[in-house]
Amino acid sequence: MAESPESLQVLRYDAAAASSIKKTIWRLANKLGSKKIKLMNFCGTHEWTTVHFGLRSLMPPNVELVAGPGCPVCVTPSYYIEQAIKLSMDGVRVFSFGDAFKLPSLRRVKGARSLEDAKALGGNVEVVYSFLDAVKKASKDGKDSVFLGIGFETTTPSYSIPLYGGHVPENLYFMSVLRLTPPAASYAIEAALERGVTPVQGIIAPGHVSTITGAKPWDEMARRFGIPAVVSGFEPLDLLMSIAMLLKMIWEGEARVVIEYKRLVSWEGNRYVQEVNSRVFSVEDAAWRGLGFIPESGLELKGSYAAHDAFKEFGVKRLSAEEWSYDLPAACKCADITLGLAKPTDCPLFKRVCMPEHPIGPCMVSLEGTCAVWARFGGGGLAEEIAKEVGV
Amino acid sequence: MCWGVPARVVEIREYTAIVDFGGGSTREVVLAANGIKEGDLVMVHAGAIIGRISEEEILSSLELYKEMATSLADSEERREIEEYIQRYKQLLGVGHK
Repeated sequence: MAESPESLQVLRYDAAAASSIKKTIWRLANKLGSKKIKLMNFCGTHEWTTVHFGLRSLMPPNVELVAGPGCPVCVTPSYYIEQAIKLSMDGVRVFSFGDAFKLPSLRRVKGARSLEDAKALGGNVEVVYSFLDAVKKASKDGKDSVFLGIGFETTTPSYSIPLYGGHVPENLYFMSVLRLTPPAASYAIEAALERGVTPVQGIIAPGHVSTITGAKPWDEMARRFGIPAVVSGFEPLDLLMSIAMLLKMIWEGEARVVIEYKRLVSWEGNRYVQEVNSRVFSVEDAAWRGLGFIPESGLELKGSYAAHDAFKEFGVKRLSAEEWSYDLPAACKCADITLGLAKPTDCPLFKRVCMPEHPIGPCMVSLEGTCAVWARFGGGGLAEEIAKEVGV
Repeated sequence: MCWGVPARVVEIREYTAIVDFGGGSTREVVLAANGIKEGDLVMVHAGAIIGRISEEEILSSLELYKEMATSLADSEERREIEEYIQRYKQLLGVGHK
């Protein structure tokens, strides 16, 4: 991560403040008695902060921090990766983000199980930093190209604004696998209720998704499930303060939304992006890897923007709910990990055969995938052991 | 790819901007928020500026926390929280004594 301005650095390194907030968290947890409190995050970067800075080691025994669906790479259906591989092997240039480049598909296509494999086997694949880079390259050389459009709400403007402004050349097509966070968050909370495990009692709402959507969707969820939500920033002190705020609301029996990440998030969100998105995309039912279809959880190009639709241009069929089949490798627990129903250490593949340098399941690929974060930074209890040894 | 990085805006263009991530790393990104000016601290996500970071609002988050925490704290903890807020005020150059 690039160096942050000084004001944000303090939110990362102020140990005295962290210690003070920890006392507040423990005080509140004591008031809640022995009752197990499960707080769920919905952003891979929150999980990264939680694990990287060892925040679980600072939690009281009755407070559990759980990772929910927060990684768009993890939930991209295998079918669409397979279609992108096929296009690249047929000579169409496929632009991809670096992490999606390594994302393994369930089935091999012409010998390749990922876009990385496809490139090694002669497929036409190019990794770019952003959609804008693809726009520039395709404008310059005029080659038929497809952009594998992965992302949650936060990534939508990088696509919709160039499309809306007419900056995307005719030869660049967009394969939308965009997904929406609030429907998946509801799905995860309902899954815990249905399975009869400890229900989610507080939502650590994603700060950057909420920069686009505003805090409003979390208010609807707080009302629906009767649980509080805090829209949190991503520095360790942001998360600690958010956890304290959630525990306070749980103790007081409140189910409302608080914005901790005020430096970026408002109640209404980024209305400019919301307006542009509403003109470029339609909301559709969509498939999530390992989970199946979630109603109104995906975005597709609509109206005149459908001229850039890679599905239409290259005759690639979209998955339907009837055709979708379970698309994770045998024994892989990514589906339950995505829903916060299992930990990476519950998976028999985790760090045995599934590693960041050789991912088997999709949660081990991206830096915001729960398994990848745990494998890199010791989410399986290492931080707790160290904390115990040094007495914090 | 789903990763936010703070940056300073160096130059505004038609629908893009040049941002500086620090350490001499600059990049052209999509301008996806209204009212962004050169010199602003912004959040860049997957190649787009999704919003302006208000450094002043860091203080209001801390005040929000202080309001919540002081009602629960003992006198020593209240002092710690107050010191914490003062450090930020000094850093941000507002209201320090």
